[in-house]
Amino acid sequence: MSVVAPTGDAASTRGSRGVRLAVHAAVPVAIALLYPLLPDYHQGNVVRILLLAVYASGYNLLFGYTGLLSLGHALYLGAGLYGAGLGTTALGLDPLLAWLLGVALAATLALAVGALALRTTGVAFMIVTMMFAQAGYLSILHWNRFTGGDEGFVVPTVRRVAGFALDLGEPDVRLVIALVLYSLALGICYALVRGDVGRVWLALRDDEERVELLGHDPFRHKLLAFVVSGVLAGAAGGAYALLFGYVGATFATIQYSILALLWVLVGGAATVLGPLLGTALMFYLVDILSGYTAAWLFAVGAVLVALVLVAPRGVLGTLRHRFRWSWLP
Amino acid sequence: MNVPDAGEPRGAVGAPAALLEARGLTRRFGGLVAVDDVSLSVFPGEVRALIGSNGAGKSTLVAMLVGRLAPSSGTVHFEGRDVTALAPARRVALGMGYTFQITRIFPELDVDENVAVALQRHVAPGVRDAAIAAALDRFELGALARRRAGELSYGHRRLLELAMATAGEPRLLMLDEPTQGLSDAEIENFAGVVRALAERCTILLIEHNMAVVMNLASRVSVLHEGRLLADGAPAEIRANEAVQRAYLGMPTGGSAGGSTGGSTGGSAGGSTGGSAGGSTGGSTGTIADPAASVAPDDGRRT
Repeated sequence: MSVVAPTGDAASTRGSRGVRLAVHAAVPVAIALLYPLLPDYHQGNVVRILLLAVYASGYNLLFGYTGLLSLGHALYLGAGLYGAGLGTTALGLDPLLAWLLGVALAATLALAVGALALRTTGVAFMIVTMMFAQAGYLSILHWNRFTGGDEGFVVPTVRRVAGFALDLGEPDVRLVIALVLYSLALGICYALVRGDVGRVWLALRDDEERVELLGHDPFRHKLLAFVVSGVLAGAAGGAYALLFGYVGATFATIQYSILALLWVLVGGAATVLGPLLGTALMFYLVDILSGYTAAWLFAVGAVLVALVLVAPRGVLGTLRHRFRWSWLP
Repeated sequence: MNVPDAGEPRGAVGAPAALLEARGLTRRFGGLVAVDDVSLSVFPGEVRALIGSNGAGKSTLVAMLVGRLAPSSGTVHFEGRDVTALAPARRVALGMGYTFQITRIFPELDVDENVAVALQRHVAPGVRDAAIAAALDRFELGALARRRAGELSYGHRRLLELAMATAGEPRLLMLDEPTQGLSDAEIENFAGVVRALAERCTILLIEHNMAVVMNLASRVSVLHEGRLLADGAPAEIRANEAVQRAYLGMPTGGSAGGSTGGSTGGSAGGSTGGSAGGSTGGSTGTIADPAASVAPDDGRRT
């Protein structure tokens, strides 16, 4: 067991903390700078992508870092959406309070479902999370007196915020809010995965029992990942309802659970910036394809298959692996 | 923590406080009793070996000691505290360390991150880098700190796992068949590593390489068909008739296969390739010396 000196190129480079922070902070800044140059249509898309990327970033904590594949995260996206939507229309709350209601609803559901689902692993975990999400979706349809069922309902976007009438549907306002929300999510994810918690999450993905025998409680760490990902999903859903003024049951379908998985896989699981990249790429791929064919879901499936075969690590994951950018969290 | 000499008499005056104490541990799997009413005390500073043939219940017993498996009955005390109901993570937090029979590290993480996972519960963030470096240096892994753990050779992985298991400065380290899969040269190196570790913590060594056991242990407990067969200094165990009977066909000095005296020859299996155990050829001598003291079957001579 002699010691082998590492060859320079085989040892990974971590770069400095400054470089890491700068790369991640540059992304929201670049979006803010490019936004005014975009045509109206794409400006709306940028806002949508940012919100969905918040959802995907949360999903990435659970799936990418901790290695838990949930097929039911649309439930928390839907909880945020309906919590904020009904909070506004039925309860007449301020936008911020309505949004917080949506986030709290998502957090509560994630805590309850997580506590139960995390008693299972693997395929059983996928099925349990999916079944809870289906129950949530069917509940939305069942209580259509409140939820509008399939058709959903409209949320007025002109609200009084701190005494001022503010149109949340106004493009620039939407961008600022979406960008702030995404930056917050980015910061939270960055801090978590670079910290002690993130290290345990990654270790859990490799070998749960080994983690436990190093003194960490696996259940609590997995539940934390589950709840944080649920909260980010709820935050994204709530903001979506308030900024786009519409709440619909589509967001609570299994399709949205699978889309989160797809976005994370495309961008690069267990990379902090991957979810945004994956969401943007898939959003535009679907956008362009649906201009030509109604069978765009087929194309989504094809991308997923190609990805698994060619670049299972996703775009950023592949780059990180190829160039040994282990500084990239 | 000082290391007493092998064979130091224990409990002569007053009962020394056991670091780890199992009382009446039993584990049934359906109709099978894998571990049957085993009581065992490990004392501070010793290198205790737990030996037994395949199926003797070693792994089941250790799984109960570390908390991976709940006993059907019986208790486990660590530093006087009843830990029977505690999860493995809690026991580790209290000062137990454990290495798996098959090396288990985090292959996707870098070597130093592996160690960081192991000690982040025990070491404050400010001094963590120094603690990681120290833990790696102790096993001469410093130069590999930034390698991905999955790229390490098998021997280095073994050392990394030891670095992880000891990074939190456990007071008791349980090594589950640590020499499995190592070459003779690596085993020799490993023995040196364990000897150095023994100066830092108490060690419970689960092993069936008799040469390693006789070489390292200050005290040996023998498990046979789920029961504790004998318990004593290596020399006593080597001379114990009951132990020899239990190992019939695999006489003490065992894996060397070279111990001719009394062995039923062929049944020593294909292990005649002469492992490091060859150096304990002296064990055959004990068979020629039946006068050596024989511990009683259930003799916990504490």
